[in-house]
Amino acid sequence: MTTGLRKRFLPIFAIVCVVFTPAHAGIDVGLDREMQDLQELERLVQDIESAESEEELRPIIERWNRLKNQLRQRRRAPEMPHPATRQIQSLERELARLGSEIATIREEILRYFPKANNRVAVFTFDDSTEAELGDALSFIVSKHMLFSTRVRSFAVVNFQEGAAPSERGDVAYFEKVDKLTRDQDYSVAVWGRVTRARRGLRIDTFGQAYPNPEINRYAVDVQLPEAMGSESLSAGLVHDRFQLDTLLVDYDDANEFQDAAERIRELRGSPSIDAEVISRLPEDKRYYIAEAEGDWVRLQVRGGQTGWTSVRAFCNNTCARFLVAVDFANEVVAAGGGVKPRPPPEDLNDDTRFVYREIAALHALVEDPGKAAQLSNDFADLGFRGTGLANIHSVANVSAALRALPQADFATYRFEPEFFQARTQDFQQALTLSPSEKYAQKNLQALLQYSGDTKASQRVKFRSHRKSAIVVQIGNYQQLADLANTGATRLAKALEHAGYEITLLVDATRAEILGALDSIDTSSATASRLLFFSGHTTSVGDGMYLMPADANPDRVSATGIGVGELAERFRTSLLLLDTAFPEALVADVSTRFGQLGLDALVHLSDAQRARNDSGLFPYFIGRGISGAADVDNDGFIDLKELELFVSDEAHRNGFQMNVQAIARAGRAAAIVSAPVHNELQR
Amino acid sequence: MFRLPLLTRIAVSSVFFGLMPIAAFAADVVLVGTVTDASDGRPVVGATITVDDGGRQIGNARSGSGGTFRVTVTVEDSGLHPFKVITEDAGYRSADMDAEALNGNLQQDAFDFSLLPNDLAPCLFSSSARHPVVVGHFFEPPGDPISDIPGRLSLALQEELDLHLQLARAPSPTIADCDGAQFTGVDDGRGIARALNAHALLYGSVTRQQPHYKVKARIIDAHDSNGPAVRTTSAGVDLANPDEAKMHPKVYVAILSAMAAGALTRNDCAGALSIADAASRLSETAPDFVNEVQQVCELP
Repeated sequence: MTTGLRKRFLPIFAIVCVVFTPAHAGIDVGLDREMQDLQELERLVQDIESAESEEELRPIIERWNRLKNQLRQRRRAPEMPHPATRQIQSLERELARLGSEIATIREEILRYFPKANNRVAVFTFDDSTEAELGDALSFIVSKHMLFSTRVRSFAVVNFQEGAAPSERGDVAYFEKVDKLTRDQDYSVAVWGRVTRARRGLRIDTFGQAYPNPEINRYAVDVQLPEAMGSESLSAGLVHDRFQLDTLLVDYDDANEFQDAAERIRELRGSPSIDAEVISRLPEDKRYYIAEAEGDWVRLQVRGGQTGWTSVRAFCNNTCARFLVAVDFANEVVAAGGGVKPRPPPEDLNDDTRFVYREIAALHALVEDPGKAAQLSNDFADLGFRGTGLANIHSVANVSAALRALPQADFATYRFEPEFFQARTQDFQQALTLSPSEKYAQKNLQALLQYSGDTKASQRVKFRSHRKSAIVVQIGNYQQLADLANTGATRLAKALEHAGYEITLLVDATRAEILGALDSIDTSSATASRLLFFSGHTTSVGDGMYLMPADANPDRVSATGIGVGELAERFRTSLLLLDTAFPEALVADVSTRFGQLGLDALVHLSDAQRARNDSGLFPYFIGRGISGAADVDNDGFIDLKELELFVSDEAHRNGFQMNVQAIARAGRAAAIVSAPVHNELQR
Repeated sequence: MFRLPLLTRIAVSSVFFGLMPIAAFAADVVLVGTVTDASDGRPVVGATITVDDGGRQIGNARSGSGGTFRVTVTVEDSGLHPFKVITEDAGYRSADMDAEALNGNLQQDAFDFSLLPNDLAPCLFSSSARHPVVVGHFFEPPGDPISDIPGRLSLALQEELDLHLQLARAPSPTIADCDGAQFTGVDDGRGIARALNAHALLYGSVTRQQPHYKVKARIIDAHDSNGPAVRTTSAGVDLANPDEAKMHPKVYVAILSAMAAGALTRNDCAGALSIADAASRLSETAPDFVNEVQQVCELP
């Protein structure tokens, strides 16, 4: 009975949603301010974490409330999950609330039009010429995309001004675009640049599509049967950052773009060039398409005016030529929204044809893998450009084979050896063309894992990692005994040579160490994030803490750095710890590390012995990581090898060092590093 | 249970703790090496070599004929003792190397210094510069001089390389012009490139080719992974509008190849792979060095 009711009510509810959520909407906002908001949020998070007292927390809360109100005014502010209905009593509670509020803001409020299925960001073009076309071009792009989109639920945000690197943070234009697009989760970004050309200007237009396999947006996952390890194979858009067009224009044409943008901004009484202008499209206000007629649309500004405008009617000649690239950007959006894309015209940039081939094949892969295999069949003729198609081709073949299986056989199915080999070769071919192609890498890794070749699988995985290391050495303590530890600088050099990006911190405070940990990218599951810490450590309750220079032994949990947090929050993949501890506690400490969920190599020296071994631990690690620890000579150093090397070297040189490797339970020992290739090494 | 009288126990522990410093005898270690001029590979005679132990000078020597030196220093024979070897000479930028003795045994075989002449010192890249490339001397077109050719070429290279690298998500190179860097007859200029911390060095000549210029450039790979210098000729280069000027694709590919080799020497496979991708975008078939990157990074 209840289910019956639900079934009947559902469509009505859906209609209500459509009515109240404008299907095609847009807004024009400032890029600089947007970046500032983002940075202010990031700073707030940092400040909250380092705040230690009421006095420090109060101004943060005030700043937060100011920022929140600003954000709410500018965006459609959804109700907060827990409205502040009465005075908050304790700062403790305020702190917790603040944390979750910021998370909510990042998820919902900071994003314009969070409910639209296809959200596009258009950025002001980077224009350093005197023509100052940046805003006009992006305005035209955003309006044309909005007025002519082929998807049902679409929203576009036009970021204006601020293309030049901002003073704060000094983020380059490309990175700004990428950072904002990712943070606000747009499916497509369009941006460009204007430079001087021989007799006028050159306009380059770029696009980027952001794949998300969960909703089959520019990427599709295919699940392998249980008998094959239940891994999934992935196909996705490889040419996801692409050039749409290059347009050479005279200086006179530049005015054409300014005029067109100005005209499009005007709202008219009826859909005609001759109709009276009744108002202008305001900045910072959301608007949506209320009705359309031919090339004209009636825009309704939220809580404000309404009027007719058109891009096609005002964007002629050179401007019209510019729209061809924008049309293709809309095809990319269409493909992301599940609509079959149309091919780009011949005279657009080469990139567009290869993007089209990939998005068309990916679109087919969702419903009809056989068709997708057909569409991607000629990848070998395309040279490097066929990289993405080679991978799609192979995944499509696997998907087609699996779909042909009777449901009952799926779990127990295994590939025939010939089929398996052919697919492996496809992925290898994709990687020959473009060695950093991440989908083919992942797939090859999964297939090699399945075939039992774990070494080869690890190799594929590990070689393309980004590696970053933070090297911390604390000798001078404000409230604890000083230490005579050395060797961090040399270790940092060795790690840098082994391919790590290094942050070296000597006698650093908690805030400095947390800041360095925060700045490391944690998005990739496979990247190598290493922390070397030489200094005091202590345990409180169940927790282990690293003690920074400003640590207070009476307030360890607030002034130390929890080792458990390293794994959880900063996703540290390996901790190298050089510390002194009373001998009696060593066994206990080891047990605790084992439960913390990260890999570690720990040197516990007896706190009571004279420190004759100062600097030895980082020195031996440095030598080991530079290749000497690769005992089995397979090009990889795992945690066990490093432990053995350090212990053996210590022993060989007459030192008693208590070195222990702690690997997470149920896991193969972690690969620490690969040695530098010898032939290239002078 | 047997118990030592209190006084004896104190004595035992003080003997135990007292042993360490007493056991620290001294040992002599001999450091040998050479000093050469980075720009032409010739020995530098009479350079001062100082061995520094945390601000304390523990030895010094001068390089003799052939640029060789030999210096004996005394260190403690237990534990790890790091120190620095510093080489100075008028006319050159001074340089230093780390060294250490472990239980009185020197851990390094030789200390070979390649000194940068002072006139090239302003062109030195900092060690944190990403993918440094130096544009050296280009001979001007006879009878039709054009100002600052290295500067113009740097601009031209930066624009185009930035674009392709950004599309491949690789970091931008640091390109600097250095008119003093030029072919000297030794090793094609590889020594200069290395001494400047650069991955690639370009030099050559420019001739007039109406309405633009013809640029002949040699691209030197500091890491020597591509064999001899790559020779290129780019026709129709509009040096009057450097940000519009295009060079032959071979030029960009050769620079990217040197950058990738530089990334590999630092074991940065991720960086080398993304540079290889950018190079693949520039030519329909993958350039040769892409295979090398794959092999080194052991991709199947």
